[in-house]
Amino acid sequence: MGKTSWYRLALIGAIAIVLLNTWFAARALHTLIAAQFWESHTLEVISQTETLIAQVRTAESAARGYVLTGMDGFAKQYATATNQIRQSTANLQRLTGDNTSQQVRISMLNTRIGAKLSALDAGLAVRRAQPQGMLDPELLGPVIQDTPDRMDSVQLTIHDIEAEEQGLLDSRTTDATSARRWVWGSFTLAFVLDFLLLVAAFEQLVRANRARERIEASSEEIAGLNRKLTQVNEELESRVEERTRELEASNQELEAFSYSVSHDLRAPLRTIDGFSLALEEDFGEKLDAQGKDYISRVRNGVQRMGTLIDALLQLSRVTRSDVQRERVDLSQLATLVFQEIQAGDREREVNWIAQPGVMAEADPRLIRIAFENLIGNAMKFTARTPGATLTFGSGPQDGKTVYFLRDNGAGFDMTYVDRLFTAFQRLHGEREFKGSGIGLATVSRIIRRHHGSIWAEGEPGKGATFFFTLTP
Amino acid sequence: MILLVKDDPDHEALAIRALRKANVANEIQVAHDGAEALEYLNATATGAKPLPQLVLLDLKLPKVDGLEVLRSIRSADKTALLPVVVLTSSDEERDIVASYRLGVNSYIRKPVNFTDFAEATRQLGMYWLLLNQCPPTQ
Repeated sequence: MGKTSWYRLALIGAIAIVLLNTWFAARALHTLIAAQFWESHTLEVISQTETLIAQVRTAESAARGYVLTGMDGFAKQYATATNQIRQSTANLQRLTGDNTSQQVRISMLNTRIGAKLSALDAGLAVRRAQPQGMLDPELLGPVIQDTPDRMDSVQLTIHDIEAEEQGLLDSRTTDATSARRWVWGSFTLAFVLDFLLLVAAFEQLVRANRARERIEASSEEIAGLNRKLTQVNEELESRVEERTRELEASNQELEAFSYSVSHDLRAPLRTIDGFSLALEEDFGEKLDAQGKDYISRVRNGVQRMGTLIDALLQLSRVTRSDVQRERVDLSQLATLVFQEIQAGDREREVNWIAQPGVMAEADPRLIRIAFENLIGNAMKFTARTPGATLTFGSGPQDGKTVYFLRDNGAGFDMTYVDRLFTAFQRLHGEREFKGSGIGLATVSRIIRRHHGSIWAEGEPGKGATFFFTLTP
Repeated sequence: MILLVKDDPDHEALAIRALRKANVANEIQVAHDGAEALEYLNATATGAKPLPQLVLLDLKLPKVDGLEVLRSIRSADKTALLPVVVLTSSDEERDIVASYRLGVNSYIRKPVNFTDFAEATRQLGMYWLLLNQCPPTQ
C-alpha cells in the first residue's frame, strides 16, 4: 500500500473517531436532558400531590367551619377549595398519564376524594337547611364520623402516589447522575481523543516537515555530488582532450617521421643507384665482369631497401588512416588487383578463379592494400608452381562470413603459423622468395582495423589459404 | 630552358645527366632552394631573366618548400600558366592532392631504381619539351 493511501485511511479514521465522539457526547447530553426532564416532572407530580393534600385539608376545614358557624365565608372557601381539588386531580391525571399504576391510584384517589366531598357536601346541606342554632349531631354524623377515616383514606392514597413518585424520583435522580457522568465521560473521552488526534496530526506534521528537511538536505547532498560529478567529468574530459592532443601530437610526429622516411631515406638510395648506373654506363668498358657484378649487387641492395621502405611506409599509413566503410564488391576488387599484378609480369600464366558478387562493408582503399599484399604474396609463392591457381571466395562460418584466398604454391609449415603475421618475420629465405616481411603484417593490421580476424592454413608444397573476416 | 629546383647536388647531377642522356639539349637553370627559385622567377617578371619552358620542382626544399614555390608561380600573372612538374620522392597522398590543388601540371614520384628514373626523365623531357603545346609567353 502506498503512503498516500495510508494518509487517506488515517484521515478517514480520524474523521470517524471525531464523529463517533460527537455522537456519543450528543447522546449522553440527550440522555441527561431527558433524565433531568423526568426528574423535574416527578418533582412536579410530588408538589402537585402535596398541593392536593393541602387543598383537601382546606376544603375539610372550610366545610367544618361552615357546619360549625354557618358563615358564608366558609362556604365560599369550600367551593374554591373543591374547584382547586378538581383542577389538581385533573392535573395529576394528566401528569401521570405515562404511568399506569399511578393512573389506577389516581382514579382510586378520585373516588375517595369524591366520597369525602359528598360527605362534606351532606354536612353543608344540613347547615344550609338550618342556618341558625345548634345542629343535631345525628344529622352531622356522617360528616363528623366519617371525617378522620375518609381524610385518612385520601391521605393514604396520596401518600401512595407520593411514595411511588419518590421512588421514581430516586431512580430518575440516579439516571440523571449517571447521565451526567456519561456526559462528563464522553466529553472527556472526546476531548482526550481529539487531543490525541491533534497531537498525532501535529506529530505527523512535524515528521513531514522533518522529512521534507531531510529531503532538502539530501537533495542538497545530491546537488553537491552532482557538482562533484560534473567537475570530475570536466576533469576527465580535459584529460581526454589532453590525451587526444598528445595522441594527435604523437600521430603528427609519426606522420612527420614517415614523411621524412619517405623522402630522406629514399633520396640517398637514389643517389647510390644513380651513380652506380652512371659508373656502369660511363665506365663500363673499364670494368670487368666482377666489377659489373658488384655494381649489380649494389643496385639490388638499393632496390630491396627501397621496397622495404615502401612496405614500412604502407604499414604506418594503414595504422594512421581512418576506416571508412562502404559497400565493396570484393570479387571485383580482388580481380582488379590480380589483373594489375599480372600485367607487371606478363610472362607468367596464372589461373584466377573468383566467386562472383562477394560483397562486404569495408574501406575499399585499405582492402585494396590488403589484396595487393595477399595476391602479391600468392603470386610470389606460386612462381615455381606449374598450373598456378589463385582462388578467391567466401563462406559462412559460426554465423560470420569468412573470405579466403587460396593458392597452390609453396605453402608453409603450420608450426610457424604464429610468425606469419608478425612484421619482419619470414618463413622463406631471401634466396627462395624475395619479400619485405611486412606485407602480411600490413594485411593483418588492415583486418584488425576492421575488427575482423585473419588466419592461415598451409602445407609445404601444397599451397596456402588465407582466411579473414571483416566484422567482430 | 628548364628550371630545375633541387637542393641535393647529387640528384641535381643525376637529373642533369638523365636529361642529357635523353637528348634534352635545352639550357638547364638550377635553383638550390625555394628562395632561389622564387628569386629567379621574380627576375623573369622584369625581363632580366628568360622565362623557362618547364619547371621541374622538388617538394622538400630548404627555406621555402616546393608547394610554396608552386603557389607563388600560380599567383603571379607572368608565370601563372607555366608548366610545372613536381618531381619528388614522396608518394604521400596529401602532397599529391596539395600539388594538384595548387595547379601542378604533372606529379611524378622518383623511383629508387635509377634506370626507371632515367626512363621517366626521358619521357618527361620528351613530353613537355617536344610533344606538349605550351601556352604562349606573355
